[in-house]
Amino acid sequence: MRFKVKRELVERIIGTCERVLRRGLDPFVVDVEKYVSYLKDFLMQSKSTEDLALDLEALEALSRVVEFQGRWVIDKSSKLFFDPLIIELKVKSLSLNDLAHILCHVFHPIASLRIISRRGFEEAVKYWLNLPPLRDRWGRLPQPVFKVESASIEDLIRSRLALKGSFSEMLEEFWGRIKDLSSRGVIYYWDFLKSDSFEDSILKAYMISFLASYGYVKLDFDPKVEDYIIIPYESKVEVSGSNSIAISISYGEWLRRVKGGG
Amino acid sequence: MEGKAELKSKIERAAQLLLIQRHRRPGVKGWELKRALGRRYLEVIKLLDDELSKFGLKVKVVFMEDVSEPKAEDYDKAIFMVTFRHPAKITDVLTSGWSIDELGALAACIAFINSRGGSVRRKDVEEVLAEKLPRWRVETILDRFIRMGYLEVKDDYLALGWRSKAEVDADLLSLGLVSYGSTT
Repeated sequence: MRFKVKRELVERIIGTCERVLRRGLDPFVVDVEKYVSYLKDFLMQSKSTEDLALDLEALEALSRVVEFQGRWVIDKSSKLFFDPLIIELKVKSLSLNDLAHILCHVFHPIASLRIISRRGFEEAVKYWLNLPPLRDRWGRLPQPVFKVESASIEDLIRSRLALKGSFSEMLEEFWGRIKDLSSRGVIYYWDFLKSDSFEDSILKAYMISFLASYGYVKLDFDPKVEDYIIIPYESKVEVSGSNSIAISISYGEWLRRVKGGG
Repeated sequence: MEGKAELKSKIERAAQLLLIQRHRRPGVKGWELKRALGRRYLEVIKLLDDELSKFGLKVKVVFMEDVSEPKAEDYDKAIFMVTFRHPAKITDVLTSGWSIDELGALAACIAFINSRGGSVRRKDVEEVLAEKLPRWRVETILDRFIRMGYLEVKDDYLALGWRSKAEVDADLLSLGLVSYGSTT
């Protein structure tokens, strides 16, 4: 059992070395001396050719890390060294405007042109010359058959082509729901959006957007949880000089924040 | 070297290859230049660089790996592109589609990643940017920088991308940051 654990550790050494080399991380985080002595110990206990091969693989990975350490030192010594903490402090303390100006002092944009190649142009001409007139292409399509059928308003609602009730009724219903939830505690924007389907979440976001724009609710940012609090007004207020808040909801974002609960 | 006319034609060809974007990203690989211009393509590129200097442009070589003393094979694998010889004016950059917030965020990302050995966890970069930008904007901006080639993703880490290496002198940026305030 003890032997198996050691084999796993050797595999872990290989993994660590590969991660450092692949990501270009500081190679001095790998304690080469300790690992070499461990491999020596492992070699003494090895019985199978698989173990010997694994030991060899780990040793090879460590030697590549040592080689990388050499290159790292040469590279670092040829460059200016800046304390990461000072840089972080500067980045955090300066405004984006100041940072932008500093960047522009060392910014050399790439100059390049996009044009069509001669071959591309020849292909395009060939395509255009061979393209049949529009009337010929349309002539190949079957004649559309129109059939008149009746549909009830319930069918349209089911097909999501019509609303159940008016839009203002829907807004009122959402407003009422928010007021009700608010009386029980704070409502966070992303919590409110939680729903079983992406469509329902988008509908809720759309309704909040309307309610906020027309003075039924307001949104306050809570920096502690980095989310907006939905605060309903008791009665509609006049909105003047309001700010726009753009909240992007992609399907991926919805999965992560609403469905995933993160 | 070659005759004057042949050399002139090679310089013209090199200028066309470097200035006209053929692939999804600008720039031409060293081996492509070697195929088009011959074995001594680096000499042609040097002459083109001298010509471009008259227009405030230069040939920039971006190596795939960090190399202190590049060899011929490193140049073959490198990307060659034309950049501004002198830093761009901020007004020109702003009128080319950048916002001041995005430029500031790019400066923060490059300086932060460069100071930490060239590779930082995405989460840590997000934390730094979130000091000044709303969280949703941080993610959008980082994704944009990755798409544009300023940053590249290695597992859950962010590193400087080919475009940052081509357009920004990261060490000078750090120097600018450190000395900012003491000189202004």
